Amino acid sequence: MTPAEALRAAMPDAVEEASDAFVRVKAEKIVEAARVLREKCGAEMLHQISGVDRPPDKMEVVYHFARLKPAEFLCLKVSVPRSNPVVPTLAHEWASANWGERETLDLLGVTFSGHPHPYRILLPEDWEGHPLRKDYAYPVEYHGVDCVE
Amino acid sequence: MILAETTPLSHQLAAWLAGLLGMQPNWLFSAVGALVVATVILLLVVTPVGLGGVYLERKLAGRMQNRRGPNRVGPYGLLQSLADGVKLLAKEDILQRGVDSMLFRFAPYIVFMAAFAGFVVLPFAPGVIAADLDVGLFYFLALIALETVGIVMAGWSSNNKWSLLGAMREVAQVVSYELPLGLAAMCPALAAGSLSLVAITDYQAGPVWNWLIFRHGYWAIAMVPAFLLFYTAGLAAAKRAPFDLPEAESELTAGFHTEYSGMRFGMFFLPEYAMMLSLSAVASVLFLGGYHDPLGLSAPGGAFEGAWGWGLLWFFLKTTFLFLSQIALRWTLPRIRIDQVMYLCYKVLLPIGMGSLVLSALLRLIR
Amino acid sequence: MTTIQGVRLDEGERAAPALPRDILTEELVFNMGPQHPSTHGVLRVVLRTDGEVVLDSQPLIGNLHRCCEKILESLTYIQGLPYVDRMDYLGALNMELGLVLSVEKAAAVEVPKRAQYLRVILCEINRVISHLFAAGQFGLDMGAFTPFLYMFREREEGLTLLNEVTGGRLLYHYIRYGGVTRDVSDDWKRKCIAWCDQVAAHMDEYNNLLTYNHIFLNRTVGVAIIDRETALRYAATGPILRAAGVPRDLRKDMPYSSYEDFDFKVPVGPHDKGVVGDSWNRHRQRLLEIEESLKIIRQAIAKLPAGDVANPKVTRGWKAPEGEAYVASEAPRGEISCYFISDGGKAPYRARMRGPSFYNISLLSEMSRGLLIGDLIALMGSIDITLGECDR
Repeated sequence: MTPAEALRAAMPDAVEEASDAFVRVKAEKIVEAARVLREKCGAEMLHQISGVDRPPDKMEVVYHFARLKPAEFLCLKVSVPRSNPVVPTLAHEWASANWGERETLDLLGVTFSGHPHPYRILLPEDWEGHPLRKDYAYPVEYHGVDCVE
Repeated sequence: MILAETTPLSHQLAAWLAGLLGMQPNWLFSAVGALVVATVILLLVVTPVGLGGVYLERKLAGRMQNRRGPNRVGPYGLLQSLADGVKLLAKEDILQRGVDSMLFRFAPYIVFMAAFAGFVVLPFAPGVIAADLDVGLFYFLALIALETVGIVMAGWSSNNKWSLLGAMREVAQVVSYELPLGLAAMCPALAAGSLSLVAITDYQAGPVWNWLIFRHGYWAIAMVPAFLLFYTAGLAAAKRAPFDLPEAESELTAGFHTEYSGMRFGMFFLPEYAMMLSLSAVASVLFLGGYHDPLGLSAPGGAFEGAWGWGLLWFFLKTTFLFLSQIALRWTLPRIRIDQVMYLCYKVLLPIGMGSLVLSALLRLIR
Repeated sequence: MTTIQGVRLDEGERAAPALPRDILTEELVFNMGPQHPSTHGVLRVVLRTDGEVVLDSQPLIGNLHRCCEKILESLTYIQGLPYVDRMDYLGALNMELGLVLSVEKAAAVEVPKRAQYLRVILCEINRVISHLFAAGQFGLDMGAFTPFLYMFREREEGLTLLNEVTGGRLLYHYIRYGGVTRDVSDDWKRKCIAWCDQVAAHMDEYNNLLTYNHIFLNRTVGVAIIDRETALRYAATGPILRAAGVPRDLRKDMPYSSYEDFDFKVPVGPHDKGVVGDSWNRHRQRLLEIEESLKIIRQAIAKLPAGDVANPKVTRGWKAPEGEAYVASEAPRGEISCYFISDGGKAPYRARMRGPSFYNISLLSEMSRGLLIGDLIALMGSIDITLGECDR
């Protein structure tokens, strides 16, 4: 069955928006929603985690799951307030979420509560700021190296 | 230098010097003679080995890999090794922070010495030998063990964990492979009844069926496995592929000599080729008849008996054949993992070595 | 005690012995640093070993991070395309296709049939040369120098072919929204078929020299087995997944760019030697995929239809209308995808690229436990990672 049907059936009050393309669920219910996708819709791989900055007040985390047969991508979206973006981690159940969430944490500043290793992954540890935010201020210098062209 | 019997060159030189000064040859003249001969051999052998061996390897490797190899420096790239030597000499001598400088400096010399000291017992031709030791074979095998010390010093003093890993692997490998190497070397010694390399060579005087590897036909059941064993264990002792784990390029960057640059690296590089060459030489002496030709012309009673040019040619041919086969093996085969190397040594080669030794002893008894 | 990204970098004051033993030994904390012949790029792996046995390893990526996604948001559509090449620089055409497919789906741009076939031909050539590189490099890691150069001989001819059409040997900028930039000549088609024959003729040589070599088999059979569950858990795709026994190939399962018109098989592990999911199977998988790609190239050249090579409506200042799309495609190293969101502006609002190596490297940590260092090299070589698409 489609994700919209499965999630509406399993957790109707967590579904904020549902269509053929994606289902938006409440942030705190993402772990259960992913579980429903795995059990009811056959999602076997967490293909991609994307963070999207939606200024002025929202930030989205988009999860794409892959079903192998028949091959399809199932999409879950989560919307969190931009001032305090906290999402429960999927890393304990989906191993590929470990690094995907670290990247979103690194580039967008979303906090994933309960993540086993919540450190930056792509940028250096002492980097300030989150580049993919729309209001990111480019640094002037880093460790004495001039960054402005 | 046509001689009736084999006298070490150093003694001849000592006698000549003494005669020149009108004195009896005593220990001082012998020492000077030995020193001069050793130095000359070192110069005459180190240079071709170092330069020619590297050049041969690069050319052969290139041809095997569908490319030409060095061909810019000098005609056919012949001066490439010289250019590389000059480059190594001109490089900055880097001693990184934390290096144990005494051990770091000393290690290449030990390796160099161990590799090149083996050349003094090689019988290049009838009468052309620096020192005809009664225990020449034993001396040669002991030097291989000495090289290990230098390598561990290099790996440890580099202050680099990868070098240390390479050095540890090297110790495990070389020390273990000395066992089958020694066992395989014992079989010709048993057959010939002596550890002196000249005596073993002269035991094989005659046509090709006198060579120990197929002597009288029936010796082959002990000697062919022993030869293959000596060759394989020699590859491992020389750290050549497929046993080149201690300096595995893709794993450890350069193993125990990662931190060495310039001529210090050259001091590790040359002994590798020297070791390859001396092992090929000893293998040809032990099993393939040394400086004797296949037709038996240099045997007592033959046309070229005692001819040092003829003997040198055949010694050179046999050694080069084995040397080139080592090169061909390196560029064909992948690398064996360290635990498989150990397995091969203790569970495969050692039993074969023991079996060959027992067979050799039996054959010697019933001969 | 120094740490980086939460990973301990030295032995600390007193490293506890890993295994209870009579002889007190210490762990070693190694740095398989960003400069290393076998890490295929600037990958840094911190190893904690007990002698030669790896107890734990932590890959530290980010040395090649250029924040391409931010760059794609800052430049116009046509300006941003070359940056995508540089992500997977060994399979650049496939990476370009990844971005372009998502944008075309979101904007509902039609691609002429000839352009689709050309995309297929060139992407398959790119796949062949990428697999040749990967297989040769794996042999090089294992110590076999010569097969690497033999494979590069074929790769060189393939690079010449691509150079003739696109103008680049490694980075192409060939695929654009709505089509491709240049057409191919009949002469080129002939040369391409000749090259396919040449590669096919040399496959035996590679197999005899490398794949079925006794020492190579000893090094790779049964080593570092990535089974189906592990691969799916870590979202490791491509040859890793197929060698683990999962018959997933996006060219067959979710065809794009006219792949449904071609007849080819999808090789799936286990292959004739070794255990399903081990390093040997991954290596053999790549060589078998080369053969299948050659079939596709031949069919596509034979059936190449006439027509435009680009959609004339897509001009230089083209902007995608509002919308979003997620399209995945099969690159040499795995599945790439782009989550593309447009808000009608001159640049994408979000172009989130998925590099397969990002997920393939993440399983290094779990898979490396208990391996010898030589086996770790076999694992990394057989996974075939490219840091450009990992770090983006």
